[in-house]
Amino acid sequence: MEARLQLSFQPMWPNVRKIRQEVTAVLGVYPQALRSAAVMTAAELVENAIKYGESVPAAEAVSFLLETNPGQLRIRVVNGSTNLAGVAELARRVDELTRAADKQALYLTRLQELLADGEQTGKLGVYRIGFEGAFDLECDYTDSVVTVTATRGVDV
Amino acid sequence: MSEEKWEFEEDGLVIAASRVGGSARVSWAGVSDSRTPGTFLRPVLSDLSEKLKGAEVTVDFSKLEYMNSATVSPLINFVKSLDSGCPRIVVLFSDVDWQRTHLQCMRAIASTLRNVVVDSTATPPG
Repeated sequence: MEARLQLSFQPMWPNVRKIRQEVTAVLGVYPQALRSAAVMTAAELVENAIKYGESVPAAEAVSFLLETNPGQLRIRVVNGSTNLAGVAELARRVDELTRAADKQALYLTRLQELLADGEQTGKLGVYRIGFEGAFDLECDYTDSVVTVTATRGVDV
Repeated sequence: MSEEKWEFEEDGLVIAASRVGGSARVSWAGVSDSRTPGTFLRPVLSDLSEKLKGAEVTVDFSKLEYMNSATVSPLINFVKSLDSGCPRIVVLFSDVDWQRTHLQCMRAIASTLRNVVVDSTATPPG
């Protein structure tokens, strides 16, 4: 029972909804909890790629890959970016999530910040993927190409 | 006593609110996945907070099928805004997995607010 979904698309917002629909369909035989976590994770990563990505020679469009292997689900999103500060901020948050012993605490801290200052937005998606989605994240930046990979165990 | 009703809709998200005297209900349904949900939500929810001042309010998220993380800030700040002007706010989530997670988080946040109770629609009454 293995699933695979590979797509390439221009960074346009309607593609986020399309990704949610496609991931829901391709994981149709998997448990609802896993499907829901994967849909959210895929959508959050694609949202980031569309919001902050740009076309570069090595990544003219956004690439999306979802695949299951025995015991594991992996989602990978690739996009171009020349925004070094933005990529560094993403890498910092991914690293913070990876090192966090309590991912819920990380998420709640960000919620409290958003509650204290209602004008603030964003910077919640990475923590949400780690806490709500229970995915591990890795981030690579090479030749102006950002690759974010989310993985989690599959108990089927 | 007459019932006042309001409904707001934007790209798959429906927020329906009603008030009868000192009792009010706000129900969210559908999906909130726009790029900048705050652009729609902030003025709508600010307006609703004013309309519901002084009422006991139930905010029901159980029919919300999906929301992106950009929706979370307007959502929790709506509850905070109600907390400052209403004597009691009951926030409801459903028992599906992602909503359970948000229920836990809202409970943690509610501990810093004065009048907010968070519950599940799956909880038997009593």
